[in-house]
Amino acid sequence: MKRLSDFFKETTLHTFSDYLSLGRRIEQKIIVSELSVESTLNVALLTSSTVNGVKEVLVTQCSFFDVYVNVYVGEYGQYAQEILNPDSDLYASKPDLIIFNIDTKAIASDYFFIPYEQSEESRRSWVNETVVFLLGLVSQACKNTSAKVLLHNLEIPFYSPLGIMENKESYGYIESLEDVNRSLREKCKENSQVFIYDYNAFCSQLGKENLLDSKMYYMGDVKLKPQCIPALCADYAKYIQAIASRTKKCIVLDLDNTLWGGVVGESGIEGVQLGPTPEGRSFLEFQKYLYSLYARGVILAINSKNNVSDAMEVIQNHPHMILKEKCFAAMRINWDDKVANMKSLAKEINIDLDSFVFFDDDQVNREMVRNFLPDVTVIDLPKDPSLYVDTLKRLAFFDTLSLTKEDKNKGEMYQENKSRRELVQTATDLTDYLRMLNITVYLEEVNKNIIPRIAQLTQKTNQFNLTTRRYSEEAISKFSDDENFRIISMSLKDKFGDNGLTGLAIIEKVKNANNWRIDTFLLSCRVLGRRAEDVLLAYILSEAKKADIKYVTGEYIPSPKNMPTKEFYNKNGFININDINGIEVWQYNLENEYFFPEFINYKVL
Amino acid sequence: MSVNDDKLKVLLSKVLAVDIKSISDDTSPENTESWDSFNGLVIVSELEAVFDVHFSMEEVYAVTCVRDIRKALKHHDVDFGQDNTLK
Repeated sequence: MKRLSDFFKETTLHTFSDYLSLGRRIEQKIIVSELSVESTLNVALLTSSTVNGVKEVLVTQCSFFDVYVNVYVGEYGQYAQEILNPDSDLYASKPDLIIFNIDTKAIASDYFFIPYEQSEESRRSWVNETVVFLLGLVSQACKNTSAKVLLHNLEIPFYSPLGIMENKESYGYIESLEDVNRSLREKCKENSQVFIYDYNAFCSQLGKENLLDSKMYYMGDVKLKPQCIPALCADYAKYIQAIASRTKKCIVLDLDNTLWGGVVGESGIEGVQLGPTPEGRSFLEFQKYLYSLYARGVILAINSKNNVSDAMEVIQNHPHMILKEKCFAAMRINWDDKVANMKSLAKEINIDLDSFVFFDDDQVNREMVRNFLPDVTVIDLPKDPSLYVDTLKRLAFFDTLSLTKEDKNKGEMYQENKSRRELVQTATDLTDYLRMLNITVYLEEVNKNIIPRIAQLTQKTNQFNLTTRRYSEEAISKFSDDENFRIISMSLKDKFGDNGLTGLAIIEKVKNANNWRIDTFLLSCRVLGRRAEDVLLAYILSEAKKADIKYVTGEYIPSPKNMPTKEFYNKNGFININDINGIEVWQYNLENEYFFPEFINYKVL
Repeated sequence: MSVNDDKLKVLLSKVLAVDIKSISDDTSPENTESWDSFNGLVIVSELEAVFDVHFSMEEVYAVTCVRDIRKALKHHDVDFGQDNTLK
């Protein structure tokens, strides 16, 4: 059966009606069960104007990453009533994401048209009232659901009745609208459930004069031209992709004519185009943008057909090379085929192929990877390198709902992993190697500061994840407030660096059963192979024993990606006591002895 | 059939979600369920984008069927060749 993304890939999408028509087709196929859908999300859209078409176009945009969105569109202009009524259709639609698309004209009413009839004081109070009103709606929505909330900020008009004197007013109309936006942003920063969508920036990007078709506005209260809807939905899709944990992790790059102009094997280091020349600037800036992604935690790798010595000469010694050797988590510079290289990169970095985005100027290589490794996202780099940066900026694969300390240091951590692999070669056996690493594991009960990271790990970890249960920050908060649950986090340091918070267990102290149930047990792929998981498990067993508990049970729920953990409980002395609906239940009798790995230090924080 | 005939039919079939073969000069909101007021506006907007023209509100109100759309487009110098009817 076809995947959703196949439809996206097969369809030419130029006009609004192309998007509209594909969205309808997909919806139709879903109704008659002709499509296999891996993941469905419920999205509610609340608006102050006519937004027909957004639903179908959003279905199209999300099909690209194999997520089907079931869109509920609220009654036109009835957003406040729907939010305030806990029995409304909005809540019955069980949204995962609620989008508030309330436009400036609707919220400002007459103030939009005749702002200077009001005194400065009333302009200031209008700002406060507007912010209180919008945030009041948002907080009601948060109270009634655990959905993420996406609130549009206000489009700042480019017209003022004061014309060129607008900025001379002590508290002007434009300034007042900017204040609403500033205030919304400030007040929502700390709330992990609410996101401000910078609709004003979206309008600027597309050109404020181009957004509104006056005829459609007067005839049908359409405030955004249909031709702009695909771009708006592409922005919404970034949030949906992040909620559905479809974020990509790694950019794999070719070298010649991708990171620099020309072929180093032919022209040598002096001949490549890279630097402050007309030909070299495209590549220089492309590298700067890639570096900025690296700095926010996107992993970079190289897959290039080249002589290692030629390529490394440029990487290490070219004066304008921005992406130095340390930026790459792994490199394949050889004459093997790129498909084989890609597979071995996935193995070395220890992430799945569907986390890769591939950049290569050569169409043959791109097609080969696309055909043989359909999970890899292959970017069609334009022929003209001056368009590389624009192509990169348009990609929305790396957005996450939170950005943790661990994300920002990810590049460095993968570099440290390279050093660890080098150390392996000097060790006599695994125990010797682990001893040389001088590992310390830190165990810590959940607290407010680490909740975003805990939730993120449950959403992103696939391989070493025994149950693959995904939890939002709100769900983790609930667990942490519930005395029947314990969440133990694990951080890891060794001689090469700090890996941060990279493992966790969620434990249910089953009432009246003399049993602790491990609901979730996972470890980031970054720290696999260091037996830190054995420390975490031994700690759980020791804590249970301290609490006079007799049994600890663990579950293994098979997924397409967690096969390597299948034997984890078995290897650690658990006994398989039950298989229910494909879930294996394993039990440890605490009368038996358990051991911490002797060469790993651990500290309880 | 001219290139613009093709463009018009493709556009209408996508917006109205109907088979391209079923579209004729007589296709209208009366005989096409999906041709509601919103899709009517989308047709106008897409025609303007695809054919790079701008219709006045008066022209929009004057459209009652596909024949009228062709007439309006011709008025804006969109070429439909010799034959004036949609095949």
